[in-house]
Parts: sequence; structure tokens; C-alpha cells
Amino acid sequence: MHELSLAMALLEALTERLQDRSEVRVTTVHLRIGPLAGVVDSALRSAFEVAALGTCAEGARLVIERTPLVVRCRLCEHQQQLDDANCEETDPLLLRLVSLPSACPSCGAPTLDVVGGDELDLVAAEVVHG
Amino acid sequence: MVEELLRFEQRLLERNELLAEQLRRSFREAGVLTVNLMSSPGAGKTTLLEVTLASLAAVPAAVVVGDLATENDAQRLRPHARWVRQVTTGTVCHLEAAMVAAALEGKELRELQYLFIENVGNLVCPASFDLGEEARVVLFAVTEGEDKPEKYPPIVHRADLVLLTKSDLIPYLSFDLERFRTSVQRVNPQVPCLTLSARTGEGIEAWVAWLRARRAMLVGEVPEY
Repeated sequence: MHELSLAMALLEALTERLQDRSEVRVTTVHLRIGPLAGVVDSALRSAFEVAALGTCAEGARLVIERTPLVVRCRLCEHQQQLDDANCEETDPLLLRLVSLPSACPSCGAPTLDVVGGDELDLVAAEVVHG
Repeated sequence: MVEELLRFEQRLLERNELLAEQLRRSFREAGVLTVNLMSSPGAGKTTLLEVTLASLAAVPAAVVVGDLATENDAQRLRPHARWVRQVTTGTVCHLEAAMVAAALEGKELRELQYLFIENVGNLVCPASFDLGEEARVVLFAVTEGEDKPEKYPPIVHRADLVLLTKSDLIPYLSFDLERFRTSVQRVNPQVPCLTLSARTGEGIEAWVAWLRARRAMLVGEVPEY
């Protein structure tokens, strides 16, 4: 349940940016999360809902963009995106992680590195004022 | 009503990651090998540390140990270490860089060669929080079953070493060592894996050799064997 810590970090980032603008209310928050971040969307949403009570982000909607796993061959630098990692909950993504290809589809070397998929980014926030 | 889009484009845990980077720099400058030990509760982190500290003997080592409550682990480890700081996290299920920084307050890192951070027993949350460590070590006890690594892939994926503990219990279980190794490799094909028992001492020498080699790499020495 580290989603509560993440929700608090998110709230901190938002309130810090908006501290001098008391009239502003956050309506939507855009996040980018990869399968390696180990985040369950629904848990993050409910943690954020509670953490945001009484703040400028109370009631704000979380829009979560799920990023794929990306693996690259160390030898031939062939890059491969595991697209079916793009889904709502983490479980199918984790299954994808344990069934990574063991060899590069391009050159056959067993030297694949995961180079993308650990994203846990605050992209933007939509706010209203006036 | 005016609508506005505020761009952030930052890591959500940016504050933790920046502080962890600072810590890592200060550990490296002081020549301290910092190891983050992670496992589920009861896999044997504290027992392994007792034996490890005893094996390192005169080599100065310290411990930061996290639990939700009690000073029990710190009390167990105190006789073996230069110093031990217990971090009680309340309800927080993992350690964060700020907790480690607070635990190090007033301590002189240059007096140490090793710092062990015993994370809160949990195979999920600690994976997301960089503590400034040089190496991440994940422990699984033989009683947890062979497929535990692939059930908790993120923590194994980022591990620098996997330890299979309580190997003295293998004769009493139907534990398939090969099946366990395969499970680790499916998530992290490169990570080395050591089997050990803090009770019988099996594998402890190899584990301590790994620690010494990692520290030698850190301070730019040729490791002694």
C-alpha cells in the first residue's frame, strides 16, 4: 500500500506549485505510469481521493497513461516494445514482465535489458480559477 | 472561469530520488558500501545480519533497521555493530530516503566500511523507494516456495543479488532449487543468486566475499580473497 505515499507526494507537488494561488482548483491530474512502478491504479485513485480532501485538489480526477515495457538488446541495440502491457491494472503487466523474451528477436543474443517501463511521472495538471 | 494547463513533467518521487542521490554520493565519498536488504517479514534479514556482522568482525559496520513498531531488531543487532538505529515507521510499509537521512544524523560515515539498511518486511512497496544504496539485496526463505520471485517481479527485477535463506530446512521441505533459480531468472536473467543458512553457516562465506568485492569495487581496490 505505498499508493498512499505516492498520493501524498503527488499532493505535495501540486500544493507546492499552487501555494501562492489560493483561488486555483485542480480538476484533472495527468500521470504516466509504467508496469515496473508497481502501482495499482485503483489503489492510487482511492488514496488520492482521501489525501486530497480539504486541499486545492479535492475531487480532482486522475488520468493515468500506462506506458509499455521496452526492452533493448545490448549487442545489436534492437529495441522492442511490449505493447500489450498497456492495460488498466498491474497484474497483467507483471505477468508480461515474467514472460519477457529470453533472446533478442533480431540477433538471437540473450542480452536484453529493460530500458523503459519504470515511469512514475506527474505530467500535468488542469486547473480552474476566476 | 479560466482553465489552465500546468506542465510538470517530473518524477512523482522526485524528492525521494534527489535525496537518495545525495545520500549515495555521501556514502561513496566516505567509502561506505550501503546495502538495502529487502524481503517479506520473517525471511531472516535480522538473523543474517547478526551472522554477517560477526563474520565481518573488526570491520566497522552499522545498521539502520526499519519496522512498523518495536526496538527488538535493533537490540538483537547492537552487540555486533558499531551502531544501530531503529526506524519505526508507524504504519508506513517501506523506508524512504528521508527516514534514512534522519537515522544518519550525527553519525560519521567515514568511520564505517559497511552500512546495512534492513527494510520493512514487504516485497512490494520497498521496491519503489531508492534509499541511496549501492546494492539491493532481496532475500527469500526456502519456506516461501520456489515461485515467490516471479510473484513479486518488480523487487526482483531491480535486485543486485538474490539470497535464498534457511537452506538448512531444505531436507524437511519439498523445495526444488532449480525451480527457484528459474523463477529468479525469468524476472532478472543477470542477477546472481546465493543459497545460505545463517544457522549452519552454509553460503555465508560466499555472501561475505560478495560484500567485500562490492566494497572493493566502490573504493577502487583489488578485492582480497
